[in-house]
Amino acid sequence: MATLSQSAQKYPTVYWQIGQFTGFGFYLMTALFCLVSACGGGDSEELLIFAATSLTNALTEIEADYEEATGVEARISYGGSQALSRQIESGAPADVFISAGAGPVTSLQDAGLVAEGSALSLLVNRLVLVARADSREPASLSDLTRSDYSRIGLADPNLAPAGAYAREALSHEGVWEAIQAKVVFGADVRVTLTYVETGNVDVALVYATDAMTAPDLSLFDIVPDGNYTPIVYPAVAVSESPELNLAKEFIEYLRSPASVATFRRNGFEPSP
Amino acid sequence: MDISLILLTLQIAVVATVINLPIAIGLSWLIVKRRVRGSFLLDVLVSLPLALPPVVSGYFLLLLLGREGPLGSLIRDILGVDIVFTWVAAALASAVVSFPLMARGVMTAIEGVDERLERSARSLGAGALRVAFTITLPLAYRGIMAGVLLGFVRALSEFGATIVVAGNIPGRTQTLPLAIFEKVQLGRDADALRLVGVSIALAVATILVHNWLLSKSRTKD
Repeated sequence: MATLSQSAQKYPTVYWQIGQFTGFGFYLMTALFCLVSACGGGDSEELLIFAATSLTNALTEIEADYEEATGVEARISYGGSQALSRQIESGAPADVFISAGAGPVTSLQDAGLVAEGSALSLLVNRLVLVARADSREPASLSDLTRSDYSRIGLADPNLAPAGAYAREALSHEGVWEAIQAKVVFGADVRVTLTYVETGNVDVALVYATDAMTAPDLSLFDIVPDGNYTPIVYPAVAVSESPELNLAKEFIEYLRSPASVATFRRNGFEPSP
Repeated sequence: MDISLILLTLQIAVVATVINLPIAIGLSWLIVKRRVRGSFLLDVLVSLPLALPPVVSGYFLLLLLGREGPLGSLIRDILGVDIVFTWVAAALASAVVSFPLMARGVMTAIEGVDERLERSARSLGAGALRVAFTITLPLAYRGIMAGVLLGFVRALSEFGATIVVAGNIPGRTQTLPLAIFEKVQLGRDADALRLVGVSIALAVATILVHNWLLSKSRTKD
């Protein structure tokens, strides 16, 4: 009995008071947060854009211009195009989707999520050859078979669209088989670019837009456009968007001369 | 921009913790005090998200709460809103993943309360609720708080389930870990490292509060 009454006196009140205080604090904070997020929503127009990661630099600039020009708050979620397309199919509340490549948009179209008449080809990206500043200048893709180039970086065609485009271009030139022994595959186009920057390969085929981010490298525009499937970036308004007009206006804004200039500066060409 | 990011991260973790606490206490009571039938199965269920990759928990939530999911379509019919890819989804993802850490702490704490005290209270005429609120929970407070804060820290750092069920939408569902992931992917090391610093500061602050609470209650012993 003695131990019982001792421990009963020893514990309860203090812990319980702190417990009530802390527990109450957590619940009070929740109430506050809910209040803030409920009130914070409606005061300005908002647009949610899902965009391919490769657009990050260009779109960050355009986003700021757009917000200043229109007063609309734009939020941009960057990711792999295929992943973003899947998210929209699962109910992500995107208003606009800008994809690298047509495939992810096609699957949205099949799901009935592309607003009627909103789809357009916004941009094209191109393949270029990059090399370290001190390396020999190649005149054409067939030069890659020469012994000056002992290692050639490509994105893995099975993992990255850039690699598939590169394989197409090299096959068209008739050198794909001949350079097999020298090819080093990167998991994606960014990694492949890093191989050149760090001197682990002599040259690599990458997107023009990625090449622009590496000012120390020499850029050779020697991959003929007709040699591979055009790399198109379509933009669409999502049919379930509650801001459909705003979404379409944003896509229009992406075609304005100022936006086109920004895209160009980042290595993209406007789609013809 | 960092401030709203931190606030959103805190908001999601706090709400996850608040959702979890009553459930953790209720389940612990069922398992260790009432010893209901099949409680060993409940026990497994409680710990499951700890053993599973978070991406599995997230995928499960996506299937459940998504447009085509049983719960998601029900909510859509009744309230006309989507849960997935909102901060609520992020909070639910954090709640599921952090639940085992909190629940195991709470369970141990409640199990550790001397049953003789609860029995004597009952023999003096206290009902089950009164025993819980005046004897069991006050006595188990220290362990419960430890569990709560452990769960809270885990909720703060949740990544895998969140990105699956809530995406990575700045200002809506992007928490600190997701923002860091994005900066790393984009090669913006300076931004990433700054956010890593914030992340470390938050974690240290939580651990300090945890230790302070415990030491404060000890000095009054």
